[in-house]
Amino acid sequence: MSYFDPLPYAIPIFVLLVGAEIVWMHRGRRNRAYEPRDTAVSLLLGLGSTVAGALTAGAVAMALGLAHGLAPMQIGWAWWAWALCFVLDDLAYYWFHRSAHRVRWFWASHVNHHSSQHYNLSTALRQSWTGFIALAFLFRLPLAAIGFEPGMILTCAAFNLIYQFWIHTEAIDRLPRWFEAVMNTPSHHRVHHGVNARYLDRNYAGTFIVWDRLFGTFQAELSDEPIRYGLVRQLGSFNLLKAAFHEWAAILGDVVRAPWRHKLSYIWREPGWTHDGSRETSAMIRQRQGCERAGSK
Amino acid sequence: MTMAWQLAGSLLAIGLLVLLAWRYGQTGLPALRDEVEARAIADSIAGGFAATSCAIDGNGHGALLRDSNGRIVLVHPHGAQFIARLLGNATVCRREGAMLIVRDGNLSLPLDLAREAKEWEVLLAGPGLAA
Repeated sequence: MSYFDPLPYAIPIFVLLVGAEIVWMHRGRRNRAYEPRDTAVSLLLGLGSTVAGALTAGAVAMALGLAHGLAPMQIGWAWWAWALCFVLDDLAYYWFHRSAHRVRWFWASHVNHHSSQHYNLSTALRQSWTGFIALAFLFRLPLAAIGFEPGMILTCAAFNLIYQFWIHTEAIDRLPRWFEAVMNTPSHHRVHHGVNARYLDRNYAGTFIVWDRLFGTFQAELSDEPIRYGLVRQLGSFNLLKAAFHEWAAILGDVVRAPWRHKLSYIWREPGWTHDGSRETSAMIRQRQGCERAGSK
Repeated sequence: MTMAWQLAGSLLAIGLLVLLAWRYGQTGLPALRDEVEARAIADSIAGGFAATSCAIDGNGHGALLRDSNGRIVLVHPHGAQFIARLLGNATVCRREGAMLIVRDGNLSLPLDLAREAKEWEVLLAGPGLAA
């Protein structure tokens, strides 16, 4: 199966924009936006992610092909199919992303995207090495199963990923209201990377923020609550391998130590869940801080 | 072969961007803006932390905070940011005048606490720290 992959064309532009942002933030006396070791980890995670993606691309394409073979109809390559595929792929991304924050198995793969305490364009490239192991591709199979071409799905997914690059910045404040209402923006996505209780587990959108508004997970950025980025329990390390695999190692440790009847729960329940209540989930933190059910505005 | 060239090009680009971040980003120790920031960082530990007292290093490079249960959190630098650590019985400290050097595991942080150094030395030696 061949398809157009725009990512190789986008990567040089990503590099130039990261460089431009470093200089821009320096000129604005915001040197703290970039820290060289953090930048190195982000970029190396991005490079590793492209290698991991190349190694598993065949298996993902095969899975999409098998699902497509079961489709009751063939939608084909019409222009409207591209537009519909992009929108539905973005909906699939929303549910993947929401699951990636609510199911520890998926979170183990996604956590490294959030492990930086910085929020800049290099953070966008801090991508997973273990997305295939976490079965992230499962969320796109329904699109193939209803008749969309696998190549079209992969191209739309790549454009979705490219869209999400530019929203990882503090250099852009707010955009026009109509744009903020429909599209995912730097402001909306800053909230997603926040560890403030009010911002936890909000704004899962990829391209269109409307999914969060529709499913009750939207939170606007508040001018009186500066965002603190990273993880609820900060990684505190610039070790590349630790950044890539720490949550997988933590799951393994928890499963080994847990009583038999709780072992699986450490895999499929939400991050922070413990059988003895010794840690906190995002929902518990939000409740403790009095902001549960106060997310949407 | 193409893949190898792409990999080499990517590594070169990463090296150049890291050099740029080293030149124009933050490389020294960060400074806390104020007590509000120190309290917010301390509150990020599991279960939360409502500080009743706080002492910030003279240069803002760290802070010690204590809650009503006698627990103490150390806010210490990590790169250009800060992270919080709940201190326990394994924590040791040494005072040299106004400087309090706090050691916990692999972490060692000198804090210039001026007149408060002696008071915090006593608190760190007392009961109430996490087991």
